[in-house]
Formats: sequence, structure tokens, C-alpha cells
Amino acid sequence: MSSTANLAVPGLSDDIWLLILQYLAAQDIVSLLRVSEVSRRFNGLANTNQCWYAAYTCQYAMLTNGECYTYRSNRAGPPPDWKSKFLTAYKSVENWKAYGEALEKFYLQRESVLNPGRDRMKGEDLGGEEGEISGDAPLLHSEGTSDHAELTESTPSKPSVVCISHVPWANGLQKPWEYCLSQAEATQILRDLHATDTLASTFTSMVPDHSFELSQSPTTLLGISTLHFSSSNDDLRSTILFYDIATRSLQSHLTLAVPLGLDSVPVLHHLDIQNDVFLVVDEDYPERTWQRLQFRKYSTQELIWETSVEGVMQGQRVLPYPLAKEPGRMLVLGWKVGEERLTMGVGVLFDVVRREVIRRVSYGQDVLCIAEGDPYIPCVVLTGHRDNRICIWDLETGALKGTLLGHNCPVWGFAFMDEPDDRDEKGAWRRPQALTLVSVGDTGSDSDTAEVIVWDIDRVLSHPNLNPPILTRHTIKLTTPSDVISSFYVIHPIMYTLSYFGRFGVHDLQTGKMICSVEGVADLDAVSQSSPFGFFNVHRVGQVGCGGPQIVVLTRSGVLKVWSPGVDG
Amino acid sequence: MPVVLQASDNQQFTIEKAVAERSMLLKNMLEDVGEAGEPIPLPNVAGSILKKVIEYCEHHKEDPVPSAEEDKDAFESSRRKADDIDEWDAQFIKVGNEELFEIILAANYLDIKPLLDLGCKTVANMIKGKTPEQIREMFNIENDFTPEEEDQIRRENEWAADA
Repeated sequence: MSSTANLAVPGLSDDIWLLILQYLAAQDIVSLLRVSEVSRRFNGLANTNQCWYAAYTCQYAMLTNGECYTYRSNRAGPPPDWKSKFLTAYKSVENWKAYGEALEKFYLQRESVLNPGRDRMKGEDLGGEEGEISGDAPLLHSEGTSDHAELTESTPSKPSVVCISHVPWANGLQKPWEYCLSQAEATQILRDLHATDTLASTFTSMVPDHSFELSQSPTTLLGISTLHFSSSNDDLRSTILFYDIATRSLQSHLTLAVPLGLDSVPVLHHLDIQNDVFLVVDEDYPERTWQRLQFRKYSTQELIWETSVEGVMQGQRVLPYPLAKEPGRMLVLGWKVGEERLTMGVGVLFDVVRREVIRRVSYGQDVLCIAEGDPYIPCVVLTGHRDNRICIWDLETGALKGTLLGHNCPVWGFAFMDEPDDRDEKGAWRRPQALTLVSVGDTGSDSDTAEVIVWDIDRVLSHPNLNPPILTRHTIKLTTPSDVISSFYVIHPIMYTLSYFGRFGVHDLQTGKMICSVEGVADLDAVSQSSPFGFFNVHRVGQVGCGGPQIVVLTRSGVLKVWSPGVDG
Repeated sequence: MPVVLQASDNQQFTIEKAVAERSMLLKNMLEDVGEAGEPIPLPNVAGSILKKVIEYCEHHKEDPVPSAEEDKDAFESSRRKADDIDEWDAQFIKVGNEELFEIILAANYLDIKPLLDLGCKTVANMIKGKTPEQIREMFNIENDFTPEEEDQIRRENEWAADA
């Protein structure tokens, strides 16, 4: 460009400059900041909501499908502050990048302490991933190996259980894993409760299992099912621990005898403090079919109703129905194994107060996963199928309302996307509404990827005849071809996954790239010992849940961890 | 039926109606006044710039005209990238700063959205990677910050220092 013409450059109006700066914001945020340093007028222009909207939608939102991710206009309230939204997303991604590096470093050092011989192999494994992690993340200060030596788990025989609570963190990073309960501690609790009992296994029944608000007591309560040997007669017993994450303390517990002769174990499946009820199910092992159901009061642990489900049924989700309107009614979504091992999606509605089964509804065949269509107002049920379809059913009648086509592989799981700014008046995090659905499919045992699709469910239900409402589609890389994503949670734009082989991954949904990953989050020993490798127990290897900005992971070995990625900086 | 345009320096240009209709201003004007055959005066646009604008409209006369409703979405998605300028457009817009700004002003006045976008994208690309001082120099902008203000803004922007 000629620089001699400078003095003759005509003035452009603010409107035109705004257009220019929006284009700039869309591709290069640093240059937008430079413009804000030019003069007072340009500082004002560069800080307009329009510019940051462009930056947010183009740089930190899902735009891979040529569609602009626009803010949901049906939400009441003033337009969001796009600059702070952008900064939140930006910081979160940057933190994760740095965090990923820190974890790798820590992991390498830790591995060398625990398994000097495996050093080289591990190094190669991680080296392969490095390309996915951006190199420009800030480096962490290493404080020498003496610190790391102290990090060794209290149970060195199980190196796959990671306790990353004292990694030296660099300034600016938020808190690392804050670990709540280790296996040793769980054992200690049991010993305190039952003299000398030894822990046999911990079941990953994290309840509530989807999303809970850490800011709102008492929903920070988690239920953990443990299995242990009685000190007196070697009988197996099951103790359910109610553990409060906010105060890191055990609130109450319940010990149940494991039914003799049946290969089943009592597992906590639902906890509803508001309605003072929880559900314990005797699960057949390893098939995990449901035998006896016990509805109990949380306050007194008194048994309200003991019943069983007809036929061979496996439950996946339990939810109050309809929420808050008719207390005591509870819907269980799951599947039944029918003829020729075809699985049928089923919903059973229990009335706990009147002690009766109100209704049974079936939702299609060959179901691999099932979930409520809207955590707020359950009126539809979603099913993922072996033949790559996702179906939407009327919850009450079981009528098919729509089909989502787009996956190229069997559909394994759903989650609704939380949005970081989706808070209520008190600032508490809202649970996701039936707006944006994320589904995961597994591409098969010969490929090491999983397919992730983000859907606009709103559009399906309101305009069923429109084009496939796919917002974006990504492929996520897994450790090995036989690995699958067993549990995941999405808060825009980050997706957290836990895989069957114990990899905790953090992915950026706008690019599909993995930001960081931690191996060995689930207890590999426990997994391999008890791996019946059926489709249906995979999601129980470990669960990823989220409360507000914190991520909670409960692994099969009962290690409960809370992680603050630092999105509320 | 050809349309006659008259620039601010009285230069006249006779163009096809389809070419003139790339401009929403002219399109609406032609619909309102009918085809009187009289030259349309454009007092805000110099002859040299109008010639350039007509060259652009000639080249793009076959492009589909976005409907009013589609317009918004197309705008959003085209906004995403400023590096998706097509080759002919890139050559066309290789002009000096003064001319570039005149073209942007003319496109804005004549309401030729794709040309306005092209101009704005080009300016955005020029700004990319420049320091504040370089930007001031390029567009002849006076730095009216006090040293304190300058300091404060730099601090506010520090978070992206390593990006």
C-alpha cells in the first residue's frame, strides 16, 4: 500500500470502521487489541459489543459447519457482554492448554518414579500426542523431583490411580485436581464404620450423575456405593456413602447385606434430597440387570417401597417425573433385552408414594443409549441406536416424533451442552435445557476415533422437516482402537470425556482438537479384572459430571476428584 | 434499456440496467422513478471512483442478488473470514489507500454490500499484525491518549501478550 497517500486518506464513518473492525475481530483478536491502543475513538470502536460478538462467534464458537452460532434470542435479558464471554472462553482454553502441559510433565516424572522401566514407552505415547497440544502455552515452573516423589499415591501397587493434588502450579492457573476421596480414605471410612472391614470394590454410582449445582446446597451431595468384606464372617456387604463435596465430609451412610446366592450387588441409582428419597437397585453382575429396587427416605433411611421390574431390564437413567410437580413419581429409562438379544428402550414410571407402577412405555429397538430429552420438562425421550440413528420419542405415548440422521456409526451417548453464561438470577449455574445436544458414536473396534455431533434439538422439534440440524461434527482421537468414550460432559465450548481405558480428555468443540488428556483416571486394574465387555456397562467405568465451573470425576476405584478448570476467572 | 450515471465531476457513464442494479440505491431509484432516461446524478462519487465501481458491478452482474432475509445470514457467514477474497476481487482492490477508502465510501453510499464487504475486509487485512503506531501512520490518526490512559489500556490488553 502506498504510504504517500496517507495525508489524503478520507475519513470513514464509525459505522464503516465497525464493519472493518468486526472483520478484524473475526480473524485476529490481537490486532483488534492493537487498534484499541490507537486513539480514544478507536478504543471505543474496538470495544463495542459488535466487535466482541464477531470475535466470540468466529474464534471461540462452533462455526465449522459454515453456520454462525448465534446467541439464543429466546432467552430473556439484556444482550450478553461478548467481551467477557470471549475472555472467559479464551482463558478456559488457554488454561487447559497450560494444564495439559503441566499434566504431561507431571505424569512423565511420576511414571519414572513408579515404573522406571516403562519410562521410554510412556514417553513415546505422550510424544505422539504432543502435536495436538498447542506449544505456546505458558511453561510451568518445575520445582525439582523431590516434590514429585511425595506425590506418590498411598497405594503404590495401583499406579493407575492418579492423585494430582500437589503439582507445582504456575501463576495464573486455577486449582488442579482437588481430590476428595481416595481409595485409602474410602477404606478408612469403612474401617471406622465397621471395625476392620476391607474394601473390595467401589461402584461408580455417582448420584446425581448428570449435572449438579455446587453452589446450591444440598445438591453437592454425592452418593457412592462401595462393596466390602465383613470383618466378622467374610460376607460381602455394601455401604452407600453420602459424601458432601462442598464440605468434603461424609454426611451419612447405609450398609446393606448383599443378597446371598444372587450375583447381585446393591448400587445407589438416584438421590433426590428435595423429595427425600433415594433408590438402591440390586444389580446383577456383570450383566447389570436390575433385580430388587429399594426406595428409601434420605432423612431416616427408612424403606418406603421394595419392588422389582418385570423381565430382564437394565436401567440407565433415573429422574423425577415430572419434575417437582408430582412428588414421589420417578421415571426409570433403560432397556430390556428381548428376543435375539435385541435391546428395547423402555421407560417405567413408578409412583413411590402409592407404591405402584403407573406406566411402561417402550422406545424402539436396538437401543445403545437412552436419555430424557429435556432435564427440565421431560416430555421426550432420546435413544441412540446400533444402526446410527438417534430417535426422539414422546415420553408418555412412546410415539416416534423424529429421527436424527447424521452419525456414521452406532450412537453411544448423549449430553446436553451447558453454556458458561447460563446462570440464573442468583448466579447459580442452570442445568442445560433441551437446546443443544451432543452425541457420541463409536467408529468401531478397528478405528481409534469417536464421532461427535452437536445438534440443534430446538430446530428438530419445532421444524421437523428442515435439513439435518447438525451444528457441528468432529472426530475425537482415542488411545487405542478398542477404547470408547464412556462418559462425557460438555460446557460450551469444551467437552470433557472419560474413556473406557481411563483417559480423561479435554476437547475443544470448535476445532475438535484435544486440549489435554490424562491417562489412567479410571482404575485400570479394576476395569480389566471385571471387564465383561458388554456394551452396557461401559458408561459405568467412571463418570464425568459437572457442577458449575468444577468438573467432578468418580472412577471405578472410588477415587473422587474435583477439578476447577478456571472458567470463572 | 441503458442507465446513465453522472459523477460529481459531471463525467457520464452509460451502463446496463443489470449492472446498475448491483447497487441497491440505484435499484430502488429505478423502481421509483421508472426509466426516464435522464442521467442520474451521483454528487458523492467522483468519476474515477465511479468507473472503478462500475467495473466491479460489470464483473459481478451475474451474481445472485441476495434476498432481504437471506442477506443477514449471508452477511454473518461471510464475515467469518477476511481471507476468502476471490482472485479477481483481490486484483481489483489492489489500489492505494485513498482510492480504497473512496471505493468503500462509494459502496456504502450506493449500497453495494459485497463491494463494501470487500473493501472492509481489505482494510482489516491491512491492519492485521500492525502496531498501534503503524496503524496511526497508515490512516493518519492522531494519538489523543494521555500517557496514563495509554498505560491502562496496555495493562488491560496484557492477557493476550503471549497469544
